[in-house]
Amino acid sequence: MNLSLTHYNGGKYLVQNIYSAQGTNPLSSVFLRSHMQYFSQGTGLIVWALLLLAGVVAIGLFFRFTTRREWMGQAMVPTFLMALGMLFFAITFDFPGEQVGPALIPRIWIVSLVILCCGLLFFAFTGNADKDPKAGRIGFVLMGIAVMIAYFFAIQTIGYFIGSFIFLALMMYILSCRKPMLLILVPTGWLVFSYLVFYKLLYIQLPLGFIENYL
Amino acid sequence: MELLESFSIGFSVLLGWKPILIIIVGVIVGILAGAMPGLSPSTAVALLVPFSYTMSPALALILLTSIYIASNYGGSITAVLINTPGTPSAAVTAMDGYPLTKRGLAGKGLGVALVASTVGGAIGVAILILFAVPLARVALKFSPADYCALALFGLATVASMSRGNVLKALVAILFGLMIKNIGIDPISGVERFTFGSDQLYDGFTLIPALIGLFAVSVVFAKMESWTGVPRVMEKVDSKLPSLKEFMKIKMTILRSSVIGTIIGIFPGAGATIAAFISYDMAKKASKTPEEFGKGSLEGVAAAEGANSSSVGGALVPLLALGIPGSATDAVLLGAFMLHDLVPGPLLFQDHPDIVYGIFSALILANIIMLVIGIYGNRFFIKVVAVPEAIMYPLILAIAVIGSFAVSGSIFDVAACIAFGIIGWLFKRYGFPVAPIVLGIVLGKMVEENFRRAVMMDGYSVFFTDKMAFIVLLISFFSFVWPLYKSWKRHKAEQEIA
Repeated sequence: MNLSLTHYNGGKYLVQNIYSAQGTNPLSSVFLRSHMQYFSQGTGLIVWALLLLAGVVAIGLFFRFTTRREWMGQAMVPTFLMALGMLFFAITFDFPGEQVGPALIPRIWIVSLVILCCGLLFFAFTGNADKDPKAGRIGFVLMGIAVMIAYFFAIQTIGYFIGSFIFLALMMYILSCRKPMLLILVPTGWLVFSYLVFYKLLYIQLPLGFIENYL
Repeated sequence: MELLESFSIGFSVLLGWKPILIIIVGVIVGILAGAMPGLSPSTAVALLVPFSYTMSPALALILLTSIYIASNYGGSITAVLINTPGTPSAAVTAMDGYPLTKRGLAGKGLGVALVASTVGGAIGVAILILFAVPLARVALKFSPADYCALALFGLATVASMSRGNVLKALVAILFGLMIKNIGIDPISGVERFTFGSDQLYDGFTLIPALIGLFAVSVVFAKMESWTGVPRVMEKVDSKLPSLKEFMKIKMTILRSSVIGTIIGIFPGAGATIAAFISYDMAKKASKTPEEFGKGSLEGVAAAEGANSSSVGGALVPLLALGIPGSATDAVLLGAFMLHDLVPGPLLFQDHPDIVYGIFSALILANIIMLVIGIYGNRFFIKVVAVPEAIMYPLILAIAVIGSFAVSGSIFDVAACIAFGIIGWLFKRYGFPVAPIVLGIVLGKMVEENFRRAVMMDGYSVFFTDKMAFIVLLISFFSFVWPLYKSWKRHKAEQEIA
């Protein structure tokens, strides 16, 4: 049995080569494991994530500033999925290395995903994919997403009831409802409904936020 | 005899005012949800699963299956009246339903849709009972390799039957399968991809992910195409077809119901494909094919009979094998899990009251749907005409509270929003969302059974186990064939160009 000690920037990884030939074969799982284990956790994982992010940004910039601009979205979705898959792939080297262990199935899905995403990226690159759809009211959607994220934080700070009232009124206003009566009645009706059904009937403890301190 | 005994157990679940009230509520909510453009049956069921949390498992599943069956009919209301299908499968109904409205026969269109849906739903349930019970008995003998192969077959057919890009459907499935790997490994107990977060020990909770992917993403997509133009709908009552008209369309309804049920059995096929195929076959078999597309009652009957009967078909693999036959079934699977039930052959043995309760409830739901459909259309039209500026914020509010209610965790709300964003982006760029859900739902079944099979008998079991081998072969061809056809079509288009 050959043993080799490999150093990576202050980390030490003991790699056990059962077959010395496989230890130098770049296609062997032992070789891959020995090199990927650094990237599977801690600093190495962060480095790997940053490298993947750089790759995603680079592909995005390529599509943005070339004649392939109309396929940018079609390229970015598979690129992002590939990057996520490769990040997860690196993490699998931190799992126990059993033959039919916890790493096997994730790796099968990830490798398949990366191969298919490469295919989609290739079609986008060669212009054989569908072009990106015409941009609709993206700003509107981003506003909606921002309001939803604010609602998520509001539930935890000011509580579900006040947060929901403000959320509903704001979303209705954004979607062009300008009648003051509706902007008050609909959120109020929803609060009454959710209080009676969820809080009272279904015993769901809805967060009350800072109000709980005064009750 | 055994079937009669089991049915007596099933019908006993419906005794009392509570189950009947639940079915009535389920049918009304289902019709409303189906009628609202942008809300699919899967969205409606996903949004209402949290409401069923404190109910008994039998009543919860009766509520959700009533919503499921009624929502397929509900889609025809807006399809006929304003040429805007409430559900994807109702797009076929609109092809002849809306021309009827333009000719001043909207009531007749709605009436035929209602009758066809009721009869189709009933036939679908009958075939469900005939298929599911013996299939569940056979499935008790399946090995882990067989289950793994069946789950893979389910995923392969979802990809191959998706309308649009098969590659993108496969990517969506694999994304769902990858997401399912987050959490504790079910066999070895190792933490996978949790990034040290307690919240991810059990992975993403299924229901909030479903609500995000099906409901929240729809609202974001609607916001992107927002015009603010209100829907205007004529208030019309259903007019049931006369006996003479019914005799003309009875064979169409029967044929489309059988077709719809059989197609519904195949995972990924669903109501839309069933409706299209049935419509096509009805046109070929009709004595007046030239009327199709111009207001043919046969056209409406074919579409509605198939899309309603597909519900029964889709429930066959879900109840008998635990493999969802459609996106809505995937949500129902989540509902089963929420109530600590595992659909599959053991459910028939351990909980016959739930299985036969569902069968009995579906029969009753069809009858209730007919009655409510005849007298309730004015009410449904009034509700569906609620401005979108009110409806969409309410949908988001329901999504948030529904996600929170599942396990009282604010993290689930964050997951719901995140999946909503993912769902919107996926749809925007042509990636279907339903395969993600099926990947999440079937991922555990594939992995557990695969690893068990290999640990017991080695990798060769997938070649030595005849059933597993045949099913895997069929799965392989079922997704390779559409890829090959798509490549040939692309080549032909290039040559023409």
